Amino acid sequence: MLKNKIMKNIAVAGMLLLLVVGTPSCKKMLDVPARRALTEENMWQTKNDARAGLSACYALMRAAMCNENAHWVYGDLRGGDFQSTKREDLKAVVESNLNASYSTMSQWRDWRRFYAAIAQCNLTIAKLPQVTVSDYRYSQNDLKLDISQAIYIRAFLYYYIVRIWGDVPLVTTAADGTTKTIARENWQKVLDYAAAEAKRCIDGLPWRYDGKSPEQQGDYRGQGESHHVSITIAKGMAYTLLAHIYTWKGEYAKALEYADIVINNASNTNYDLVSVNDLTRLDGAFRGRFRCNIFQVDMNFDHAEMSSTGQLEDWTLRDPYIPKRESDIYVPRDSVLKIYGEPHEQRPAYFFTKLEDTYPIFFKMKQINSSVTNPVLKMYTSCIIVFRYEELFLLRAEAKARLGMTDEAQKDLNRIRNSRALKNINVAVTGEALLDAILLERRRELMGEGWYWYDLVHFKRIPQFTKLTQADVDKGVAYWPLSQEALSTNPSLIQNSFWK
Amino acid sequence: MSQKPIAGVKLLYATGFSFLNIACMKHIYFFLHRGIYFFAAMCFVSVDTMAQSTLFRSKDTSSVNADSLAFSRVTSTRRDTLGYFPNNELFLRTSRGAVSTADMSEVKKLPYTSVDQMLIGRVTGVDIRTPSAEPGKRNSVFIRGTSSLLLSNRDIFYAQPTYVVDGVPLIMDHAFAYDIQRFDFNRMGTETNLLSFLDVNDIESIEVLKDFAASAKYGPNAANGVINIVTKAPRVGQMKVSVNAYAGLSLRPSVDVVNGKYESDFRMPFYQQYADETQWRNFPRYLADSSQSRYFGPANWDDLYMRNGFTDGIQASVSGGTPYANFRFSVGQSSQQGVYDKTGIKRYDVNFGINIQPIKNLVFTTDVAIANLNRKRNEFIRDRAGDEDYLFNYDAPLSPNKAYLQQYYTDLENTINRNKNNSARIIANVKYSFLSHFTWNTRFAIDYGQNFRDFFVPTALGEGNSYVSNFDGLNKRLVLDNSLRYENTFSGKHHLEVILGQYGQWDKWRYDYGRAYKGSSDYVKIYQPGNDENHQGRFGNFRLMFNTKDFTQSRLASFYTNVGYNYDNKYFVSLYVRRDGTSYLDASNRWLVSPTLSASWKITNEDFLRESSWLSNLNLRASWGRVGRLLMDELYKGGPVYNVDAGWNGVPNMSTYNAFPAINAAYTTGYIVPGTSWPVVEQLNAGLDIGLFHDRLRASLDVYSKTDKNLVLKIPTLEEEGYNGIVKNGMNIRNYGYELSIDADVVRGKDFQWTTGINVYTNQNKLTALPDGLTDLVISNRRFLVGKPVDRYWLLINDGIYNSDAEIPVNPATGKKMTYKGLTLHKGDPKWKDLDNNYDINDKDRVMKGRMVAALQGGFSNTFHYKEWEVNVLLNYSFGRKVINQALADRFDFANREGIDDPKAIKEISWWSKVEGDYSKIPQYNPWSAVYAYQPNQTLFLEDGSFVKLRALTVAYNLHSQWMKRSGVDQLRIYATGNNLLTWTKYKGGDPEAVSYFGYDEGYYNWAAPRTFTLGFNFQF
Repeated sequence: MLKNKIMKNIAVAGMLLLLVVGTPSCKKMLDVPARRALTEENMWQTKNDARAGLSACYALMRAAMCNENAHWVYGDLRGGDFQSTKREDLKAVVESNLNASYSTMSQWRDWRRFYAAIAQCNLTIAKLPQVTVSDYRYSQNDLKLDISQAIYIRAFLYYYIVRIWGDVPLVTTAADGTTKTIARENWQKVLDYAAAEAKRCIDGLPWRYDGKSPEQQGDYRGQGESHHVSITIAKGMAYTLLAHIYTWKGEYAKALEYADIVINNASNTNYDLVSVNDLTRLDGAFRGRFRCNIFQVDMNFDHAEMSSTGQLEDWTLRDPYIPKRESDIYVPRDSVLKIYGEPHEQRPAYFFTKLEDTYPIFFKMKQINSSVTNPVLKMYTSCIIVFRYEELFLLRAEAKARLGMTDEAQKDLNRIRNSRALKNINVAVTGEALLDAILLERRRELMGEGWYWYDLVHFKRIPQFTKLTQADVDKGVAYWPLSQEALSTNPSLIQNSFWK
Repeated sequence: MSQKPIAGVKLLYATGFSFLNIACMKHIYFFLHRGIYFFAAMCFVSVDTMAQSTLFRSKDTSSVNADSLAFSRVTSTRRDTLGYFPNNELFLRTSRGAVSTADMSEVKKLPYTSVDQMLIGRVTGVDIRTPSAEPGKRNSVFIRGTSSLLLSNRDIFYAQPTYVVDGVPLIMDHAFAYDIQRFDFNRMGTETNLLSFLDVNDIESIEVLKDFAASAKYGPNAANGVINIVTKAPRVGQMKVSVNAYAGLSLRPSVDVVNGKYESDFRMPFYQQYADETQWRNFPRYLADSSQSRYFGPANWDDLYMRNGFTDGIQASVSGGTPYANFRFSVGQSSQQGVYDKTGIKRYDVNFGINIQPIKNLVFTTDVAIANLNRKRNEFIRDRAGDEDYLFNYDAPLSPNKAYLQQYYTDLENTINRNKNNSARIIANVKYSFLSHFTWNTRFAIDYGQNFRDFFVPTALGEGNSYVSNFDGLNKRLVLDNSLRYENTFSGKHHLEVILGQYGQWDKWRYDYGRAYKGSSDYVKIYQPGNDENHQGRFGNFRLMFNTKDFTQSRLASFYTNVGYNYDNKYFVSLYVRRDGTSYLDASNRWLVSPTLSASWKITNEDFLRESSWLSNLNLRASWGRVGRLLMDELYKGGPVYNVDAGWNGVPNMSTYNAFPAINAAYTTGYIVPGTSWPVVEQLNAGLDIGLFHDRLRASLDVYSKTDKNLVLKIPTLEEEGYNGIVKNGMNIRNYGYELSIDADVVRGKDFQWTTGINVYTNQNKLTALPDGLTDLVISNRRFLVGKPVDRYWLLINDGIYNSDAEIPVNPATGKKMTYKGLTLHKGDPKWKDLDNNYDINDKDRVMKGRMVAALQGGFSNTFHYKEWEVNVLLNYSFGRKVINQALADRFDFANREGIDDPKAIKEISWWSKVEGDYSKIPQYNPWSAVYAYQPNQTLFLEDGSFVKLRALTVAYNLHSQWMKRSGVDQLRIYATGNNLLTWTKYKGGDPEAVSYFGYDEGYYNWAAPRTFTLGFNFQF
């Protein structure tokens, strides 16, 4: 009886024990692959990883420029052509009241997003070589082409932020989370670095992604040339960037040299001027991949890369084009009449509409895809045209003018003027007057494309065209203040003098 | 006598099956797998027949409980009969830790749909925050303070206690859905409070387990405290049926409605004093024309928006059976209508439990609980914008006048806002006692939750564009627990218990989400993912459809042992040691050993006190323990991570560039320092329980100090490496305070009894360390200082207004006027205190001020019995907390909230009401000033949020009559309740309880709990 009882007990206990043994081992149970985040050892393994990492360089560059419409805040708003209808933060920018207390303003003061894009470039440049080891499909050619793009983007970003903040920390290696302080580097040195990098990347880049150059063969990333035009980094963009870097540095001979390379290689680059109509029409240059777009930061409806914020349309359009009673910014009618006052000028008709209203509409960008109209769903898709062929001609004109090549400069200037139905500039306009004419032409042609403020800075015309004084300029009003976040996390940073 | 069982069984058939037919068929059948339903039904039938035959057979033994000899080894627990043992519960329970129990007999009468609301004022150590009285919406509960920094909704998820139901920790929603959301409003999905699944009539007890003597057995699930819920179990005995029902009314609140005239009059003085030409030109059109009746007509929108809400519930259960097999089955339904915005929640639930003893000493227990929640949500424009991730033009608000709102309400009818949560909880337990002293227990449980939302906005509400989205989320937890217990008593005085056990927990969270804009017609209202080949999906253009899914799983493997000893029921000591492994950490850091030591001394069991006539209970206890805290995301396994985060403000989900996918280092997540290890919670608790005069006066005091150590935090790092922070261990937060509860039977007469009780809970907290030895940290608009509390606002100190430019102080050193962050102050700007005397008002002039968490809170309860009458009055109170009246600040900040593309420009329909607050103390600042004169974070808007509330008043009458005895009716009780009847507070901004989790009163976004009256009965036979 007792034995029976014990036997039964053992039987049941054994059965239960089975349950325990049946549970999988702990190691196996706890080794669950992460699904929500890729760890270091799983990234940079395959060709796809490499390309995704590279695309992130582009994407983060776009994020930095689009964030709260930063590209136009830095490049256009401070110039004063645009006025704010009622947004106090935009008004503060227009009035160079850059310490003002708005959440957007602290975004604009902050450079982290630019450094995130730079960090991604640093990382990509450092990690790409190891992919050639782990994935045989990733050839040395692939590597060189991809790495050159990342190098270009990094150089471009440094050029971009030097214009905004002046001296900036020069970070060229991947982050390891241990760095505690990085001091600001003299802006000229930063630009020297950017120029050297831009030159370094040229070798690895094709003129065009047509698969016919030694640098790039076959379909790049499975797409033909048309997919990459103006978007994927090519030689012409690098030369254009060099021309800009040297212009900002005031080394006009070099600027001219590189601008010449681009323009003289038209057969390679396939760049061309654009008509006002093609520039401004729906699915025109701001749709992108146009021959006039040397370098564009892309948006595309077909790729679902669209958004309701981050494009200038968000601020410039209004009824009847989008459901919004007033635009956020506008160019006053008086300014339009003044800026575009020359006879035969055709641009205002394309760049503006509702000129008779209190708040005319800036109508240069209006990429509202036909799929999001009637009624409008605010999903904008205009790209940022960073470098445009017209702009390069005007840049070369400036360089030539500065170098005393007045005739040549006038020729470049006239080329753009003629394309906009203006007659040639008076040959008597030389020296500073010629520079003013070039500046005016840039202002007219490039309005809303993020140039005017930078032009005022390097043409040294801030006191003449804004309410700021020469004293302000001398104290450094041209640069933006550093954000509180940047200052408090990096003790070696010093606030820009004007904003102390 | 012999007729009774038959009658009972018949009735059981009748009621049981009619419930099955009515409730199950209609409402439950559709959401669970057919098999489960079938299984439940079969069990029900088989048990029923078994019970029937047993009862008939054992006719002559008057009570089936006589058979309980068969269970001599199975000690009865709190569950009414054998139930099942929550593992290793025994020893820890006898030595008792800091446990606070809600009085279920009172709670049962109240019309609450969720457990957390039942606890307010009734237990100690718990802080319940209810930002909105929207029925069934997610709330938050904090036990013994908050152990992390609360900065966004996501942090709230990670600070919630674990709800343990019948020994099984429930799985809650995961915050990961916030990753792809632009606004920190509602989490995607239904946002339903998962605690609403439980029907109060199925609950036997609710306890808050606070110290680790009480909760360490739940391991890392206990890090935020445990709320232990025991449901009613099958019972041995004759069939009993109980029916509980109530119905009630929530009263429509009154609101001070206003129209355009009021608003225009309010703004005009500011315009007259400060506005420049542009600002005048921008005077809102809807306020400009007083002849327009759309905005200047009578304000009566509240007639459409508010209502008296009905609330009702009915629940019925049958239970009974033999010692060999017994069961309990219950079906319940309850619904609650909100008084605002036609909100409401409806629940159906079915519970089925069965105990079987196939052979002696072996007990199988199964419990199946399924429930379905349907919630009718609010129609806030803001929340719609958050759902759509799209901001409309907010130039023209809705009209305050009914006549102009009809169209809007008709359009709302065309929306779909279906919020459905389903839950199934299945627990299976096997217990086997053998060799006199050993007990084996195996428990397997599944907790499964589905979160399903269909959302459709018709063209009329979307500027001509329709919108559709679908969220399908799943939470699933599997639990397996095996334990072996040895228990023996030596020489009659030495009691020893040893438990060895193993625990595994498999958690999964997943969701599929899709949204699409601009549907082809208003008739296509359900989201269907598109097909990549077509540019046109079923709903509309494929490019305007966004699909995303997320998935994460967390696993926990644990081994535990408990050695408990007590000598003669006087001295108790217990050591609980546990080793936990988590899948969220890498192999070298994933294991954690955590011990808990507890002891108690039952002084009244000492010989010298046994004879005491006045001291009936004196028990001294102490515990120290450590448990690990589970990380809530899988980012911490191997250093820095990569993700897809290529968007910018307002565009959180950009994932490609030129159609190529992008994967970037996780710059916004932060740089995750390799080697993340377990955060732990250490808690010291000392307690004293006293009973005087035959337990006529009962008091319990607990003093605690709970320290969260090694918490993971993102701290700012230099921006020039791209990351917006580095994520690493190293934050410590201590919470400390005491809890006291005193109950006294003041009058214990034959006909009249009066019991009074008061409880007090205090909490202080302190940040004791930050990662990397940091001592000072600013995150968004909060500052955290080591050595200081973490629940303080960070405010500028108001000191009046500058009435003229001449009043602005000039820095004698530089000759410059006082500035605000470098911006020169002007006439009409606030006079803020310049604490560091540098003539610049900036963040250094902010002070940490004002507790968000009450310093002292609790309840005061009185129960009176007179013959068959019973009256209970519950007051709850909260002192020493502050509230920022943000609604008032926002109203004054109208200049920055008009016609802009930002949620703050949104004016809900209830915007047409006067914001409550003390207007007299608000100076007339220049609202257009770039210094943000009416920012909420200044002392101007900080107010005392202390309050005392008459939370509940209940009156009950127990019917007793010969008729009842004859017909076998055990209990018939009729009761009436009133809830939220009165509030006493100094706070001027309305209900001080209805504020956001972070202490900001957002006005009409925080609905105050309405007054509710109910009538109900409990009937058992």
